[in-house]
Amino acid sequence: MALDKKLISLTDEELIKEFQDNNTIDAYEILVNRFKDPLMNFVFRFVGDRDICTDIVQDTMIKFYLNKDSYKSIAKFSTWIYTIAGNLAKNELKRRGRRVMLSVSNTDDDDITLQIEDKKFIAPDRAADNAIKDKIVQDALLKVKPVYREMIILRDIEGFSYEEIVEMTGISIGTVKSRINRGRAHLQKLLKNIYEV
Amino acid sequence: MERNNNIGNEKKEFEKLKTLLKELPKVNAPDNFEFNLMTKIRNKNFEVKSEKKKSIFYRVYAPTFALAASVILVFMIFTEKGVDADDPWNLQPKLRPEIQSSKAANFGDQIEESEASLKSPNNKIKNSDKSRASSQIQELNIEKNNLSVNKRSQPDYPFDKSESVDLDELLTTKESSSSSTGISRSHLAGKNDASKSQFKGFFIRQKEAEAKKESLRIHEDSLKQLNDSLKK
Repeated sequence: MALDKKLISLTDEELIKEFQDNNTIDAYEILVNRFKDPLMNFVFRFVGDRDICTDIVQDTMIKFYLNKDSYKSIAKFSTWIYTIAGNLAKNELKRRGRRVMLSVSNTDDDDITLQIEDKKFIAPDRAADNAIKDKIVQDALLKVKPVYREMIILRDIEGFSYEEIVEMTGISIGTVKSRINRGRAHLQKLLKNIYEV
Repeated sequence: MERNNNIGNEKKEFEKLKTLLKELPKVNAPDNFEFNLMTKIRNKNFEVKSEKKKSIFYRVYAPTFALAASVILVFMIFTEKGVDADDPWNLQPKLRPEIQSSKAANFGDQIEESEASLKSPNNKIKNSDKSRASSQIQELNIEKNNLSVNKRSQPDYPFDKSESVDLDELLTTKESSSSSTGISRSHLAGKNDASKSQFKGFFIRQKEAEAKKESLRIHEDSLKQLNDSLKK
């Protein structure tokens, strides 16, 4: 228990070091607990299917467990784990091909609406509006090319810096910036109606 | 000035977009996420669902198998066409080697007969020329022989003559002449002596007279041509 308290206060990098050196499963569990939700959000926005998204994040965590030694302390843990999740999500998209567009089901949107209601009370009509708006944004996001979509999610939804995105994706900062701008422009075109309303 | 305004508008529009994206509700992991994960790890069930690799059969053997199958199919189709060109029911049975050799000997006799039947100028031909001519004729006859075997000459039945009954002869001639086959009328295959042979069915023999006549005519023509050439 004392060990747990001590572990919780550690940074991500210290926890992975602990897991690498002493194979401390508690350290692993703390890291899973810290990153499961951000990764779910990232992968869901990228793939658009909640069940597949859960599978991908589970697989990400398993990969992390199995390949813990491939993490080098020079990089941030978050960028490393996001890279794994991103690659798995891209593989999933490749596998599904064009079916991605059709995979945004109504049940997913219901779940999102419920989450909003859980956090704070919103009048039903407004909640419905928000749900519709979210669906429109998510649909538009899925229509953007995956290379641009990934950048927009990392930058504008997850809030990573350009440098962190460079580290995750392994492409130059110029390419990252141009992809983000192109993606935004495309998304903006798709969401033109939302701005007018 | 206008350009700066445009950039400002774009930035503003992107700001709107950014806030729109940031306002998107956060998607959280299901409640049993950690439990499921730790169960998998404890059970060492490390199958990566999202990255199921196709087995080696699909990656390597399946295309190879498909290619081989298509090649065989194409080959079969073309071969089938070749067979269809001839009616398989009308194909002649294959000659047995001993029958082939006896045929060849018969045709050799025929050549001699035809040479003898030809009159005068042939007798004047010198011996060397004669032998050369006969070899040429034989070659010619072999070719014709092949043709006639396929089309006109008597087909070779898959049984010995000594063990068969010629129905034509049997029906048209009298008993005495039927003995030329070596079997008496009452001695049908397999009737008295089962060890000798068994009855294998009826076969229709083609008339050989016309075929023989044709081949002799060809011999005659060829000899005449040879004679003319020698005269010159």
